[in-house]
Amino acid sequence: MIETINLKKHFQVGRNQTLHAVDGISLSIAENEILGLVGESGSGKSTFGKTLIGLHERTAGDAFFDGLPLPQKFTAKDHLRYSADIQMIFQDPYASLNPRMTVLDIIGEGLALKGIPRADIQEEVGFWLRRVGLHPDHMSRFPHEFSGGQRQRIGIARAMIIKPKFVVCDEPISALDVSVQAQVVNLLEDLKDSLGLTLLFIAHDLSMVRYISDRMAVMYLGTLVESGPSDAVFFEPKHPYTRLLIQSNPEADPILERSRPSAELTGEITSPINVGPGCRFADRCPEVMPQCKAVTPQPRLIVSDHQVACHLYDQT
Amino acid sequence: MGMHKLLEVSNLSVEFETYGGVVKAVRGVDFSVDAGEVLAIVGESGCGKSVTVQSIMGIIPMPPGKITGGSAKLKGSEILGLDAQAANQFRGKEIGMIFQDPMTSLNPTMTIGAQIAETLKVHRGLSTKQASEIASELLIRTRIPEAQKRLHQYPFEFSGGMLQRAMIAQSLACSPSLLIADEPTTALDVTIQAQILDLLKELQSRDGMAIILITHDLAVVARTAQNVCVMYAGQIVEQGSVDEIFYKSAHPYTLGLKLAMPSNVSQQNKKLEPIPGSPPDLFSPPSGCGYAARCPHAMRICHKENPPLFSDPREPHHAARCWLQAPGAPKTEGLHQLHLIASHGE
Repeated sequence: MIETINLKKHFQVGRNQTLHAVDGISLSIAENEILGLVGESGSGKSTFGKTLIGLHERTAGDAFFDGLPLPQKFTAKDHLRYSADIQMIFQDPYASLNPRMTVLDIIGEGLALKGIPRADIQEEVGFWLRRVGLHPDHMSRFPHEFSGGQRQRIGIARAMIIKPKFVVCDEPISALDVSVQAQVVNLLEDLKDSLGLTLLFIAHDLSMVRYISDRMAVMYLGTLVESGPSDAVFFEPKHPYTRLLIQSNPEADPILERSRPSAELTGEITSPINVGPGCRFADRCPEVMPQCKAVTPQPRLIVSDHQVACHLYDQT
Repeated sequence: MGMHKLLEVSNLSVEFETYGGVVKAVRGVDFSVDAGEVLAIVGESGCGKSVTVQSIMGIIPMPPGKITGGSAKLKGSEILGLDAQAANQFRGKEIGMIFQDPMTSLNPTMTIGAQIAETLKVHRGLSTKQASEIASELLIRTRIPEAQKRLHQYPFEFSGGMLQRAMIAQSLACSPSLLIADEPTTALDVTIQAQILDLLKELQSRDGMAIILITHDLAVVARTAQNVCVMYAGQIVEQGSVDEIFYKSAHPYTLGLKLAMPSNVSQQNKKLEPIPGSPPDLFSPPSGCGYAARCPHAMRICHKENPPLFSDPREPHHAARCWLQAPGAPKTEGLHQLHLIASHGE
C-alpha cells in the first residue's frame, strides 16, 4: 500500500548547513496494517510522516501509494486529489482544530470541498460523532467546549469521514491522560478493522506502539535502525539502540523494575546537522567497532521480515 | 520513635476563585513523608497533585488561590500560611523543587553557574568565588559532563535532559532534606528519563534525601517510588507501598488505570480497558464518591455519600477511599479486599 525508497528530507539551516532530518528511509506498509514508528525527539519520525504524504517536499527518494508514485512536491491540486485517500491525525488536539469553526464545519469540511449538500453533511457528521463516542448534538459546538480526549476524537472523525485508505497518526495520544489514551487507541484499532485502514502510527511510547502495531520501525537521527514484527522487535531487539531504548522503557510493575539494571544509555541524541559517514549511533553505542565510524551500515534482513542496520550483523 | 515525620500534611484543602465559580482543587488531603523516602503522588491532569505540593511550597498565586484548611508541618513546624520572608527561609533551603519544564523554570538571561551560585549566596552567605566552586561540584554530582565549561553557558545552550540536571543541581545547593519533583521527566525522551530517574534514586539512596515525585505515569512510579498516593478529583483515593498499590489495588480507579495501560510483562496482548467518561467538575464536586460516575462497580451509596478512607490494620499504610471496602460490601473481582477499620472519615 505504502512504500518509500531511500526517502530523504533535508532542511537548509543557515549558510552551508544542512539538517538531515530524514536521511534515506526505505520501508513499506502493507494494506490494513498498522506500522508503528518510534524514536526519540529529533529522530525525524514526524518529518518522515509529513514528507511521505506531501506536507514537506521530498529532497530525494521515491514514495509510492497503491503502487503509484507520489509527486515529489505536492501542488494544491495534488493535495486535493490525495486527501480523499490519505489523511492525518495530529498530536495536539488544541492546536489542530480551528477555534472559530463549529464541530460540524470542522468534521464536514472534507465533504464540503467535494460539493456535498449541507443536509447530507450534517447527517454524515452526526453518524461520525456517534461512531467516535460523541453525541450528534455536539456538532453546533466549538472546540473549546471539549476536553482533550474529545477533541482528539473530533480530529479522528474529521480524518475518517473522507473514508481514507491511509492515515498518518502523529503522536495521537501523547497529549492525553492514561484512561483516555486507551479510549482513543481502541477506537483507532476498531476503525482499522471495520474500514480496512492502513495506519502509520508515530509515537514515542514504546508499550503503546507495541500494543497497537503489527510491525514496528525504529528511527535514530534520520535513519531506520531496525524494523520487523512488533513483538520480534520488542522482545528480541537486534540493534544496540533498540535494545537500550527498550531497557529504558519503564513498566508498571515494581518487582520487574527492581530487578532491572540502571540506565546504560549515556549521552544524548546528537545533532543531525552536517553528518558524516558511519553509523549515526556510533558515538553512544556500547558495542561500537572501528568500521562503525567509517562505513554507514546498510539495512539487512536477519530473520524473515526483521531487518536491522548494524555492523554487528555483517557477514554471517 | 516519637520523632517528627519529615513532612506531615493533614486535611489540606485548596480552592481557586475563578470567573466560573470556586474550584475545589484539593479536598482534604493527608499524607506524610519520612526522611529518605520516595513518595509518588500519581494522578491524571486536574486531580490536584501539583496544587497539593505547590500549596505546601507556598507558591500558588493567592488570590485566586486560597488554602481553606489543613496543615503542613516540616520537622514539626507549620509551613502553611507563612509570610514571604519566613517562606523564603525554608524554600530552597529545606525543600528543593524541580519542575516539568526546565526551560521556563530557569532564567534565560543568566548563566547556569550564576543561577546556582545565587541560591548559595542567598541561603548560605557564600562569596561569589566559593559559590561558583560549589556550583561546579553540584554539576559534577548531577553528572553534567564538562562542568567547568557548562557553568558559563546559558539555558538555551543546554538540551532538555541537561537542563533538568542543572535544575536538580540548583535544588541541591543547600542540601535540602526534601526534594519535590513535579513531573520531572514528562518532557524528556525515555532514555533520558531513565537517566534522570536513576539520578534521583541515587540522591535518595546515597544522600538520604526524601523525594516527593509528582507524576501521571504509573510506570515511572513503579521504577522509582517506595510509597504511593493515588489522587482523583482533589482527594487521595488510595495510598500504600508501591507493591500494595500495584499488586493489591484496593480502589477501582487504581485498578482502572492499570487495566487501561498496555503491559509487556507477557507477550500476550490483553485488550486495553479504557475508563469511560471523564473526571468530575470540581466547581461543584459530587456529594458522593468522585469516581462513582465512571466506576463499573458503583453502588447506590457511592453516588450519595463520599466514602471515608478505609485502612487495613495489618498493613496500616494501605488505605482506600471506597465503599466496596466497607463491612458487608459485595466482593469485587480483581479488587484487593482490605481487612478494615475505618479511619477518620469526612
